[in-house]
Amino acid sequence: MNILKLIKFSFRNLFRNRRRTLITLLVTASGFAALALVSGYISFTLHGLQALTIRNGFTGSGGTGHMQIFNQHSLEEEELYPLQFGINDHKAVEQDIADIDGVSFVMSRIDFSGLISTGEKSVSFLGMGIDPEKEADLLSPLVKHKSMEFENEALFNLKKTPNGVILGKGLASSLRADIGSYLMLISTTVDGAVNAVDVSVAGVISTGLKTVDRYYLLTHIPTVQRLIQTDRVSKLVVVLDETEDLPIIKPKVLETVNKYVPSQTLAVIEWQDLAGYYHSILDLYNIIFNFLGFIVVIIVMLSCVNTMLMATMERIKEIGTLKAIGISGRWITFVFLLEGLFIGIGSVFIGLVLHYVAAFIINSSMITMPPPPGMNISYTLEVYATTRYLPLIALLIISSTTFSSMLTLRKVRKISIVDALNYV
Amino acid sequence: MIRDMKLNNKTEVASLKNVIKYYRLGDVEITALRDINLTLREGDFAVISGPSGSGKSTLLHILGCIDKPDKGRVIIDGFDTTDVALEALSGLRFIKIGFMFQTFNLIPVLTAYENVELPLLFTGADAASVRSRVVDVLKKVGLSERVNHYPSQLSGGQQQRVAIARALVGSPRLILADEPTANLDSRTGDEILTLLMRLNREEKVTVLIATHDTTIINKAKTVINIKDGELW
Repeated sequence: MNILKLIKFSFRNLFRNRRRTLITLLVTASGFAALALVSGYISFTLHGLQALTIRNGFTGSGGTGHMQIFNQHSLEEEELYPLQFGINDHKAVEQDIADIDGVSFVMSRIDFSGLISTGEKSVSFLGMGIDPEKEADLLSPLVKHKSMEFENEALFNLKKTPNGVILGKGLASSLRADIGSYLMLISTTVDGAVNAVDVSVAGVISTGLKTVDRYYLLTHIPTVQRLIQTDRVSKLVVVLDETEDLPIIKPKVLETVNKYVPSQTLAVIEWQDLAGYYHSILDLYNIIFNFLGFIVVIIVMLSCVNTMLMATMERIKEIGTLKAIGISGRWITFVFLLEGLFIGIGSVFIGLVLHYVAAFIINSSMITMPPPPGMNISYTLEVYATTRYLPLIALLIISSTTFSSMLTLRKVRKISIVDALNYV
Repeated sequence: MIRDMKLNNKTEVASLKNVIKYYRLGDVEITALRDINLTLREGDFAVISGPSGSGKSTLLHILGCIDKPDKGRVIIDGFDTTDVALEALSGLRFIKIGFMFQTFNLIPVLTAYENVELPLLFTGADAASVRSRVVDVLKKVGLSERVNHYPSQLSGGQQQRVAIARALVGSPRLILADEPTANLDSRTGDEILTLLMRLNREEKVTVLIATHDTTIINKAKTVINIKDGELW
């Protein structure tokens, strides 16, 4: 008997046993869809975490961008005074890098600290000098999330307020300051002197961590430079059009910054290496998803095996008859193997449709999820319709149906022909 | 009582030599067949008769190589099957033996043609010869007009005719029928019996029917009685 006859025979069995085939297909296709949805959610979450890290960052540190550029010395030793190892001539460097194809924009940041005072009360802060317009650009893909509108509005107000500051919620509360309040920033200059500038509150935001909110402050780069008496910046943040282009663009950025040697040696660090917190959360997610995924896979496989077992047990008498009329167990095994294979293949196609429909419904429902640990952004639940796991899931389902039919047949083969013929 | 039933002097088709079969029901061992000796020859048309539980079906199963005896030998067309596993006897069952069941045991999703074709599908026979053979046997059992009907679209008698055709399609030397008329009305049962007798006569196929239907017993050329696992 050739394989075509076997295929034809198996197909005929499946098509003619419509009810049994349909039920089996629906169960196994639902299994495929369930696994695909879980993998779609995992892909979305991991991709979302990446986007949040690049665009927003953790604990108020600001988005990492795709790369950051530092003075090499700042990575190797502690500064004796503010911006001792800052970047000189940062505007020229920014411009050179911004000219590279695929780079969306480049912006500067200054890390600094000091005291903030109402005149009556002074508290310490950890601040960051920023370009509010570009920071808003970095955040812009996330602004569709409702929780980001508030932060975006604060950046917009900061842009409009030349000597403005954005305070963390805890810091504002500690100073009893509100939008429009006048305060004073006090810090040491690069020469070791104490300097102060007057600022007004442009916004109050929450970073997601209360302890950080008590010290958090954002202001304009020129304000910080005026306070600490320097024209340097701490770092440059490079933002690309597409994250996937990072491996191509990084060498070009390196080449560009190397032009500044020997006047200054600049280091380029990718976003993954900047965000230690990202890796911690990624590890946490991986543990959770692996555990959940394992459970879902086991449930789906058991459902498939159970359904195939039921479908096979219905056919014990048929198997007994086939054996009694002289058809060998080998051929019967082949037929069941093929039927399991075809059920698996059919399940993948139906499962794909179910998956796309379910993903569409979930994505259209705009379900809001709580912020990840260390973040202030809640996000809208989304399930990616296509993930790199789909072929693996298809393989899993097809092998489940094929080998479960084999397993059940093995069990059936232990029943004698006479018992199979008398099976009710 | 030990009996060796030699029904005529023609070629031996199947024989049982000192066959014993036990069944276990919980802790109790039941002897289903006790030292059976039986020989069937070419062209025999025999009925094995006895009450329910007498061992008729067990004898048929062992003779049909779908069950093994605990002791004794089973020889089919000169081939001693004693030391051969049931699985390995599938070819022998196809070539030498045709089975008919009380409940017909047709595959419900296959048409009459496909049910009859089934045993041939798993051989190396080419499509044309398979078709020709299937059409031929369906014609012999009077079902030429019903080839594309499913079992559910056929009467009980027609279904049993399909079963006969399926048993015949491999040109076996022996047809074993287990209560073939039990699920049929008396008129249809008569028709099936007449058909089997005709095939026995025309095709020279040996037929052994297990039954307690007196109509069949009265029409059989040879009757073998069995009671409590013994022939008498």
